[in-house]
Amino acid sequence: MRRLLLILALLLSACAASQQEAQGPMAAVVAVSANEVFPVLRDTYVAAGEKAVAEATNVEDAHARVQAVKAKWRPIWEAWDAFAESHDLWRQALLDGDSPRILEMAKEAREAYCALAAAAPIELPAMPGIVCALGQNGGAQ
Amino acid sequence: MNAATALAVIQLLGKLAKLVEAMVAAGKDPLAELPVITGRYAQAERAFDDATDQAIRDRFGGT
Repeated sequence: MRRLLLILALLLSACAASQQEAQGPMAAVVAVSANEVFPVLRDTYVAAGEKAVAEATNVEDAHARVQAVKAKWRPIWEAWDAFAESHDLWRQALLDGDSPRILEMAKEAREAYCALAAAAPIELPAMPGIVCALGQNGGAQ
Repeated sequence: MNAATALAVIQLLGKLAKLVEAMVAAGKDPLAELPVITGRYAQAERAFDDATDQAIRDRFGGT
């Protein structure tokens, strides 16, 4: 019950506040969710590497297959870092109270998240305030 | 917003509420201490390299 009241209080404060002020809780939710997604994405990556080794016929083949997995995942991890760095800038703008930059950085974080969702081999969670174009909400193989 | 998205948003708000509760209990201002995204490519790459090096040693031998 206390949690429900807290959620309602947050929602009401978000409605009453300016768009910039409402983005504080949104940025917090995005970070908390991303910190839960990261180990899942990392473990999926590690499992792909271990599967590649299991399917190899000799040590040279194993190294080649591992390198192929790394190359396939490089754009996904680059998209992850771009998303995390854009969130850092969004967060800093919020802490600085820099209103024009808050909106600009929020937009960049949204775009970076959608690029990550489109590249990721697992379905990423929906984030409040982030609506990606059709086919950009995760699940890409 | 479809039902699945609405549910996901509600779940995320639940996580936020837990986070805010914990911060308030610790005497912190939730909006002054926004969480950061801690995971990075380099960390995932280290985990991947360690796991695949070990898998290669287990399967084909060597140190």
